[in-house]
Amino acid sequence: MKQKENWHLLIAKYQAAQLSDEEFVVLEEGLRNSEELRALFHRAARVDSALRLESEQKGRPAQEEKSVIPFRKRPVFGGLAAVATIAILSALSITIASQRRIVATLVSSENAAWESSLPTVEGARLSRGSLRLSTGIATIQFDSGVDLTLEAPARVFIKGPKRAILVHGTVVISAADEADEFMLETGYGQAVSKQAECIISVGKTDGNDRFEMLSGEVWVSHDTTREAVKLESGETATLSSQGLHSSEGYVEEEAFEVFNRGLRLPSEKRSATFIRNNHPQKWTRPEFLTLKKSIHGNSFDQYCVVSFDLGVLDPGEIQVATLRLNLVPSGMGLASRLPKLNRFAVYGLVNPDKENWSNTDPWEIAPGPGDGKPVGGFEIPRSQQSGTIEIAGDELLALVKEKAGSSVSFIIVRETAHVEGQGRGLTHAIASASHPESAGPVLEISMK
Amino acid sequence: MTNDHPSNERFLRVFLQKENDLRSYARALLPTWEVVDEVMQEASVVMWRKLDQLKNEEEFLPWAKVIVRYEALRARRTFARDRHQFGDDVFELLAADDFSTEEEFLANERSAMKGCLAKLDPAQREMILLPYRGHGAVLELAKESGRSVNSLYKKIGRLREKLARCIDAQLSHTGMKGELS
Repeated sequence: MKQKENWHLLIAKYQAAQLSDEEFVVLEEGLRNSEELRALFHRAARVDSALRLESEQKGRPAQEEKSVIPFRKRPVFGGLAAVATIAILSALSITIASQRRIVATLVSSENAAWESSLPTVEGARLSRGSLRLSTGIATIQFDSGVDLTLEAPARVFIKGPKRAILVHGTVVISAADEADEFMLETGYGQAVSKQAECIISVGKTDGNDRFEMLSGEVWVSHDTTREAVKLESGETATLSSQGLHSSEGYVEEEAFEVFNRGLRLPSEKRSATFIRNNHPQKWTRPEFLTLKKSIHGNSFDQYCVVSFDLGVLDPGEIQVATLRLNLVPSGMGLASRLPKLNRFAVYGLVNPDKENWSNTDPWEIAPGPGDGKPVGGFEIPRSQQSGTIEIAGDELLALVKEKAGSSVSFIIVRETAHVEGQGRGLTHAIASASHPESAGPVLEISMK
Repeated sequence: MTNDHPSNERFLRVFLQKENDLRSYARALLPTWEVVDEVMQEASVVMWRKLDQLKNEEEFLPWAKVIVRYEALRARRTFARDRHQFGDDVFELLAADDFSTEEEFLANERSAMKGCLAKLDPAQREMILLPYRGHGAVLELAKESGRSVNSLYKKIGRLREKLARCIDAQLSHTGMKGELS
């Protein structure tokens, strides 16, 4: 009984890559000599498969980013499901984090800005992991002989020398003559290519996956409908929630998406930065909505609140709501005094006593995070001081619907402080409606 | 354009039916899920290409296992230097110990496993699924709870043993001999 318990422990640790060298020797010896242990080992492998599947189906509470793509089990070929968030992708690797294997090289990086856990200098060797290209063009050469050229904005997750996931954006796959098969997983399915050149986009306009063949052959399959098609030069296919649709002929020049019944609401006059020392005239500027946080809460901490007039809207008609902010350089403080990644939170104001807040309210009275409920968040690397931020999600949509007919206010705060030590940390700035170049906060609403 | 080609349809149908069994077999031969995923990808392409060799679909599972075994062997050579790998003799024993040829047994076992998982209380389910919550989840819980990592793995091992016993009991109810009782 005790021995069997020990075997279960050893197998559990082996499957989690947690065995010590001594324990490994014991397990190996046991497997060599005991048919019963081998039976137990096979059973444990089947249980491991079932638990992994169970865990994936159950989903994951802590996702790195909110994604509209549902999480399902990913089969090897053609099968059941679509891709998920990077956090979930990490879950698929469960036990392997300490076993990094180099599988690709970043061979070119033109005017590229990255957000990545992997190295992003040209020539860097890459292991399994996530790469997000914010600007520019870059090419990853997999050791299997396949080149993946990313056009910003795009995000890929490298799974191995012959496998990657395109989370969103557009890539061009091109393979050397001697290259092996390469599988690129997309939102609704996957493409298996060999010695082919193909353009693949995920979620670019309508949320569908598009495959456009330039040369060679690629097999495209849908996860749920299990349809599959072989694309040849000049052919195209689309994967959507409805299934797979393929056609011949090159894709026409792209047209801009028609924004039917959409509203772009600018922030109303109520839009302000609140500073703990209550001297906004001296320490803030009208063209900026600024964000700053110190470790121990000093007098220069700042956050902002923006308000939008929803008086014209019928809640039943609202389908999607997106808060769009433009990050601009403030010129204040040092980026090097911040952590590499800075986290921000957006709260929707729900405290009725603060609904009538004013731009001139002092810090102590102005609406703060405690007066709201979280509706979204975003992260910005310290190296990045410009770009567009979009916040959307069920919580934000629900609040906008709830406030339709009146106004909605969002409280935006930086959650991460500067690093310990001397020196002023960077003040982040969002363009206000008074900014000379960038647009101020906008609430975009799609109607039925 | 080759759409819904009969051989492609045929492959997808039989492969998807047996994918979980093949994946479990590969898991028994390989040290990590990362390698299992890669091997399964390679093996599936080989199966697809060689499907014409298969005369009878009922023979798919043993035929596909031979391909998985071969691809696992190739992967072992690639990854041999950087992780715990069983010796060739143990690999061959595991590959040959085919405890799952009876597909009816596997189907019953899957059903039993589902039932037994459902019988675990929420805390036990949470614990047994913890290693799948991403790297460091066990370590994190160990830190939070003030327990050692080893003690948590012991607990997970005991839960797996409990699960195995439950599965055997369920199988014996259905007339299937539990292989590990």
